[in-house]
This record gives sequence, structure tokens and C-alpha cells, in this order.
Amino acid sequence: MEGNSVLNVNELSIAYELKTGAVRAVDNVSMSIRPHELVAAVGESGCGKTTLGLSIIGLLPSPPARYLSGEVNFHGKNLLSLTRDQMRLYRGTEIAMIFQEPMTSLNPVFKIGNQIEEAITLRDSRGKRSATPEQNKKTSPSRSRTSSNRRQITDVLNLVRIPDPERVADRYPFELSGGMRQRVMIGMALAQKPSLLIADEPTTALDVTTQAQVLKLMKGLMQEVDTSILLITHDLAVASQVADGIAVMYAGQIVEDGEVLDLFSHPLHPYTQGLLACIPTGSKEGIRLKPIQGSTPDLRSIPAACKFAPRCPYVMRRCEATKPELTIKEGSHRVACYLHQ
Amino acid sequence: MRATSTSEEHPLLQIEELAVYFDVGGSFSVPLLTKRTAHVRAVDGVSICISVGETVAVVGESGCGKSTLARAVLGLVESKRGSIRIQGQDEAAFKRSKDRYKIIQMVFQDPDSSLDPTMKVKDTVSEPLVGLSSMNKNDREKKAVEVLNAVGLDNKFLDRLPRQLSGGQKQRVNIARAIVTEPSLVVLDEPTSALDASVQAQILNLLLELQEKYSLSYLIITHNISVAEYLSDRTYVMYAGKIVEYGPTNAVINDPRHPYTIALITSAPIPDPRERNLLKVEIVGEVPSVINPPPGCRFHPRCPYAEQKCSDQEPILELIGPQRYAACHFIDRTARAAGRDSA
Repeated sequence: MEGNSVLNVNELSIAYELKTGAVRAVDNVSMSIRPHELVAAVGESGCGKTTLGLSIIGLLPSPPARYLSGEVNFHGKNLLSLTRDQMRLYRGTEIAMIFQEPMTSLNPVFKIGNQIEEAITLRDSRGKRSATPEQNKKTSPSRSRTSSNRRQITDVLNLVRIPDPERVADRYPFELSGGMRQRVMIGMALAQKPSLLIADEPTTALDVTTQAQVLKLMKGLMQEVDTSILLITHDLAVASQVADGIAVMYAGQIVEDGEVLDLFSHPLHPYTQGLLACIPTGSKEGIRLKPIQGSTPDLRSIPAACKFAPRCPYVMRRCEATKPELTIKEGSHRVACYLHQ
Repeated sequence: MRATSTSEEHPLLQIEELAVYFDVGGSFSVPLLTKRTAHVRAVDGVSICISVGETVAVVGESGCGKSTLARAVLGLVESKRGSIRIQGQDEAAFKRSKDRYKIIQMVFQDPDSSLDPTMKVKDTVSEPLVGLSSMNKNDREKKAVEVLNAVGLDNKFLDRLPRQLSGGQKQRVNIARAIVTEPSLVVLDEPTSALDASVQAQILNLLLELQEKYSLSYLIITHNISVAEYLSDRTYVMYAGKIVEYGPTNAVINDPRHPYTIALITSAPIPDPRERNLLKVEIVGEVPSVINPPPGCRFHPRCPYAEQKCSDQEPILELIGPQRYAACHFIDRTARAAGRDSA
């Protein structure tokens, strides 16, 4: 199974070195993503989901971050063993990433068309195939925009269903709405035809009707551009709507993962159960929400054994003594909790 | 015609045809030389009524004017036309903002920026009492402690500064500050959208507890349908400065009738992979500019049912069911569509 996976993260641990000591932001994380699979890493702020995403694409500033152990295998190659120059051949072309706030990811002083052109030029200079088949001939990077370049720009905008692409290419980022900007980012990322797209809270800054359109678009493009997606989100409901597999993270660890249907029909970890019980679905006359006690943990003062123990309604003596390992419960459904071992 | 939706003789808050415009495009340096032609019509003819003890939600997406509406209720922005009556009296009777704040208080969205970083928790919470009550310092502090305990913060928090609090604790302090003067109405502007899911649930339950304990009425401004459903009795749906539909929350959310309400509700992801409603969403486009809103019905460029009439003529709110109103020329068609979806 690991043989044909696009991404296979193996026992990855990452610490941030702070003045007050080191905190483990990613703790022994293992996950794999198969071709055309959308895996969601879900968790609340500080759970390490963004650190995980940045570490895969090699954008984690080090220091303060320090890789403690583990591998990030991409098509069988451990990215952590690559030099910075070697990594550049992967970043943006083989693995792309989009972020929460599309405004800060686009350069405010260049027109949309120029920014897309840059991405295309970069791709062609690395000999990558392009997202749409008829443009597979190489073009030399040049200052003046050739008609073939212009067509490629409109192709990218068409790919993400932007109406009137000719006009949008001539706009600056501030002239577009949030949803349009995120579409442009997705287009630029997928223009490289990467086999993995890391989407870090791609719709969190968007309105719900826009969010629905963008998620639908991303999901639809996966087959079209032949890519897998790692979706990083705080929103279990969003994950349940689009993901094939889900990894629930808490304080740097995956506490439960599996196929989306298994995980939602039989949530096993008390944290997953708690998160689901926190989502309001109904009126106050119905069932009152049962919130998880306490607040999202401070990684500087986290228990060494089960990290969820202080907030867990089922805590046992064992949970405070030794750390529960992620073990297979059924099929591919894994959970790190003594209640299920 | 427009609704007079309550049988109360004096609703707690009655907003009639309220409009709030902001000028844009004028020059600051040479105001006389530039023509101020453009207005942002943030709120454009909105009527809302809140009875004593009631929780009313205003839902809509960014730019629909819901936060401006909240600020107008507090008197923080000037209205262009329309009226706001508080406990049956026109807002002109509340010339001193002090009198208004005794009745209405507000909790803001960002728990961080709405607290003074240099003030201790107990001072933040007791400060409103300085202006709005005749209590002495001792009583003020006693009251602050009582309310802080009621929001779930024990005495060890009294001397803390905001930076020593988590996001959820900060929002508890904000809520305590709003209710310490025992107002009748609390305006909650996106009270939980900056919080993590597990903390959001705690705050939602806290709001329900406090409502019972202090007999509060709430006006909740939110983009989150589930929050509106969980907390409110009646829901108003706002789009581009207008109310497009309102009625009892259960009815509006389980049987939406205005095409925009339908889109808004089907776009809200539900945490169930067996019901992938999100990927079926049909709506296109985004929220329009309120500087130059589309003519006629403001939703028509995005509406699957739109016809010529929709761009020619603006629909008004009409009775469509028990205590339910919607502004749509083709409401009979959406009824069939919504019915089919749920069947």
C-alpha cells in the first residue's frame, strides 16, 4: 500500500526551539496519501497541522524549527534528505501549496496575468508537463508576453472557472474578490500539475457560499489535473464533506485517522467524539452541546503521556503514566487511546 | 406589506426602515471641489423587531451590512433614514449614550482587540459600572467578581491581564463586561467565530445559561447558520443591505424559501460524510458591491430562478407562512424546489 502512495510521512517529529525551551509541534506523525486521494488533517489551533504541511513542502524556517526524526517520502524519495537546491525542483512543481489568505499570497503590485505567467515560465524551465495537454510544447521564458503565453494564462484561469479570463488577467489582486483570488492561487498551484497539493485552510477566509464553490472546484480538479490533496482545516464539517481520509490531530499527534465514513460513523477517540459533539446541529430546545472541558493546550506544558488526558472525560490512571500509541482498530481506522486497546 | 411581527405593545427594540450609508470617493483635502456621488449602502431599509426575552439572529455573509446594523443599534453609526425605538421610545430620547448603554450592550467579534491590554480583568469588567451605575468602588468590584464567576472565571483571574488569557477566557471577560450593568439587550457580533470549535461550544452554552440567569434578550449577528439555529428564536437573513427573508428560526432553516436563504443553508457544511450537500451547491458568483447594487432584486444575478421582472422591480417582504416573510417575485417556485430537495 505504501508502494503506490504519493506521500508517505513516517514517524515525523519536529520541534520549535524557543527561548523558554523546545516544544514538539509535530510528534511522531505517520500518514500516507494515495493518488487522487484527498486527506484532511483536522485539528484546532496549535495542533501542528500547519507545521506538518510546511514541513512536507520544505518551507519550515529552521531554526527555530528542528527536525528530530522521521521521513517525508514523496514518491519513495525522502524529501528531508535533499539539499535546498534539490528541494526547489519539487517545491511548486511536484508539490504545491495554497494558504488561507489569498491576498497575502499574491503580490499586490503585479497583475494577475503576470503572476500566472511567472508560474508557467518556472514550470516550463523545469520541463514539467502543463495542466492542459495542448500546451505541452516548451516556450522559452521571455520578457514580452507571447500569444501562446497569453493563451496559457487564460487556460489557467479557465481551469479554475474564472469568467472573463482575459479581463481578469489584466487586474491587480486587490481588484478581485476573496473567492476569485483563491481561485487564482489554486490555478497557479495546479498549472504546474503537481502530484500533491497542500491546501492550508483554503476556504477559512471565505464566505460560505464562496467556500462551497471553491471546495467543489478543488474536488472536481483532482481528476482533471491528476493530483492528490492534503487539506489542512480546523473544520470537521468541511472535512466530512470533501475528504476521503481524515487524520485528527491534537497537540502535535495524530490521535485518530481512517476513512471518512468509518471515522464519522464510529469516532473512537474521546477528542474526536468531543469535537463532533461541539458542532451545533439543531436548536437549543433539542440537545444541548457537550463542549470539551478546558481549552486548547499550551505545548510548553503538556503531559508526557496521553496529551488529551487533562481534558478527557474517560481518563484512567494508565493514560497519565504511558503514552498510547496509534494502533489499528479496524481496517485502516487507527486510534491512540487506551479505551480501544 | 411589511410586517408588524409582534403582539407586544412595546417591543424591546423596534427598527423601522433603517438605512445607513457611508460616503466614499470624496476627497479629504478638498471636500468642496469633489463631488461625493458614491455611497456604500451598508444597510438599506431594514426593519427588525425584538421582544423582551427573545433571541433574534441576523445571518448573512461578509458585506451584507449585519455588523453595521449592530453598530446602529448601539448608536455607533448615524442612520440616513428610518427609526430605532428602544423600549417604545424613539432613540432621540436617548441623547446621552449613557442611557442607551444601560439598556443595550455589545460583545464584539475579536476577543483580543476588544480588551485593553493594560487593564486587569477585574478593572475591565467593573469599568462600565463607573459611568452606568451609582455604585461605589467596593460594590463595583463585588459585582464584577459575581459576574466573572457567572461566566466561569474564578477569582484567580481577577488580577490577570488579557495576554495571560486564552481566546475563550478573553471572550468570557468580554461577555462579563457586557452584562455587568444588567442590560436588557446584548448585541453579539460574531461571538464565537474567532474561537476554536471546542471553545465555541462552551461559549454558546454559556450564553444560554446567562440568558436565563439575567433575563437577557440577544441580537446575534453571525455568518454561521448553526450558531443562529442553536441560539435564536427568530432569524433574519440579510443580503446586500436588505432583509430577504425572516421568520421563526426552525422554519427558516429547515424550510428556507428565498433563493438566497436556500443557497446559504445548502452551502453550510454539515458534519456528515453520508450527506455531501456541499458538493451539490448550485450557487455561482459572489456577494455584490453595495456601492452599485444590482437593480431590482439584489440577488438576481446569482439566482437560478431570476427572470426579467427580477431586474426591473425590487421585491418587497411579503407574508409567506405563519410569521414568515420573504422578498421574492417567484416564491412559489422555490417552494417546489426546496420541497423536492428535502424529499
